Amino acid sequence: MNAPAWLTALVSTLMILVAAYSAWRLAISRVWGRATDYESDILHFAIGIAAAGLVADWARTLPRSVWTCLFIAGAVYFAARTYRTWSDRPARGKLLAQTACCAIVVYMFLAGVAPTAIHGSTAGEYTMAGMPGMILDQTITYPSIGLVFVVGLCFYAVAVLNQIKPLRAGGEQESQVLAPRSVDVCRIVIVLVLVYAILTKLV
Amino acid sequence: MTRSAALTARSGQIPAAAGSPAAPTGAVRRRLQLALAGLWLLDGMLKLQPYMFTKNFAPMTLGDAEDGTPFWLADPINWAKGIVSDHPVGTMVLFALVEIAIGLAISYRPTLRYGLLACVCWVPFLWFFAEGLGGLTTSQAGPLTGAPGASILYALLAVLLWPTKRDGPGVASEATRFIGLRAARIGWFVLWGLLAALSLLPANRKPGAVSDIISDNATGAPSGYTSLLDHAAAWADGRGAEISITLAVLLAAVAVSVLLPWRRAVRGGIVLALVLATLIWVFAEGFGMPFMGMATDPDTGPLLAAIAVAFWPIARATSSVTSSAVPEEGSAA
Repeated sequence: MNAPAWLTALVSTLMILVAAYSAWRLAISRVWGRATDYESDILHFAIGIAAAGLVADWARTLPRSVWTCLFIAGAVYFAARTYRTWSDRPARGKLLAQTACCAIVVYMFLAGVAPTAIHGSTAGEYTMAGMPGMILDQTITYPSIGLVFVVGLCFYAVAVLNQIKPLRAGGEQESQVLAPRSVDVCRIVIVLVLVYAILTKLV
Repeated sequence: MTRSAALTARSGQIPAAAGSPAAPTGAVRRRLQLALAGLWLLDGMLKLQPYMFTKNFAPMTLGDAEDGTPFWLADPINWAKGIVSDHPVGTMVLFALVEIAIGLAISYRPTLRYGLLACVCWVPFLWFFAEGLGGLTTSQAGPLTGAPGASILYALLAVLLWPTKRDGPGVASEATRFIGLRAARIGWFVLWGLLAALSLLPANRKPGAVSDIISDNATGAPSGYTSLLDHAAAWADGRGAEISITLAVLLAAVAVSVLLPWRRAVRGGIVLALVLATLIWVFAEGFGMPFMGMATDPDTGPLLAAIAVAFWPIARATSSVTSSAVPEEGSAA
């Protein structure tokens, strides 16, 4: 089974937009003299491009092995940064989340999360065994680990949204940072797309 | 008796153990609200699985809700089944978006009230059409088969966790903070008492009733979990009556526990409720059976556990806690 083609296209486009926005932030922050979290922006850019290719075939870029190596390197980097800033609790939490995010993307590449192998969409069709037109898609390996990640990611998205301050609550210090809430929104979008990508392969 | 102790006795508040620290009430309530939000978000995302967009979904899932129901319930479910079957993509995307929106609205503080209100409005629709009133109108309903339905528990949690600054001697737990002690106790007693009574239905006391429910969850599950379920099903085979009666007694004990005037008894009842919710979730509900991409929600286990946590008695170092300790939620709503 697979999702409607327009839905996968929409999700992939969303990821590309997140990647483009993160790239724009990296480019413009120096020009405008506004601070930004380079680590988050670079990670969002990479996940945006990689996740788009995990959902839709037309958005594939680098080979899976290259992406896997890149995110393993990312996970090691963020784990090392977490270790070095262990005493700084807010930074530690964010870096731990980024380490986990890289690890989850590595799992997705290794477990076989990929665009559907079915030509066309099974949406609106009968697809079960014993039914006319039985159609099955490739499924992921170690789906239980994927389900644990799905639950963890959902609650992480909730936690990130809970920490976003309302617009009127921004202080003077916050005005020096380039649209910090938009980074959290990108993080939530990425998390939901990762959840979607894992769930679509549990068939 | 001091004035505060008299207030405590009149309101039914259980006195705190000496030296027990005051709980950060706002934080506990917010965590429970976030747990509710996370479950809604998970529900919504599960509804975007490819199976939900196929024509198999409506007959298999809504058809299950229709089984054994009286005509006044079966006919509307059949009508809804027809709509979902004819337009699986449009209806399921709509359902998913509504549930994701509820989860996100509860997570974001300024929209918390809107999220909880949407939850209360959305749930009756789900409970009636998708869950067939949790199977309560059938002879098969029981705590092991998902009664009284996950949806109604979502609504109960939304009401219990409605944002409020209310505090004082009448607030015995987070569950009592908004609806009051008496209403909360009635809610708890009815919920767990109903589960106890359903356990004793003839269908649930059949020799193979419990083992059949457990073995049904093994389909598509990982090998280790399947092995655990197989062992449990083999042990439960032929013991349906004993297990159901024991479960009914334990559920009844949970139901009456919050009415008791002793803090330890209340806590014991809540711990027992958490243990039973976990056992039901693991063995009878199979974690909501998510392993084959057909789960629409994690079922009642986590919700029963969340409700139990909401009833955990608040520890108070002093009899009067100022309301300033409780941050206002959803103030912008």
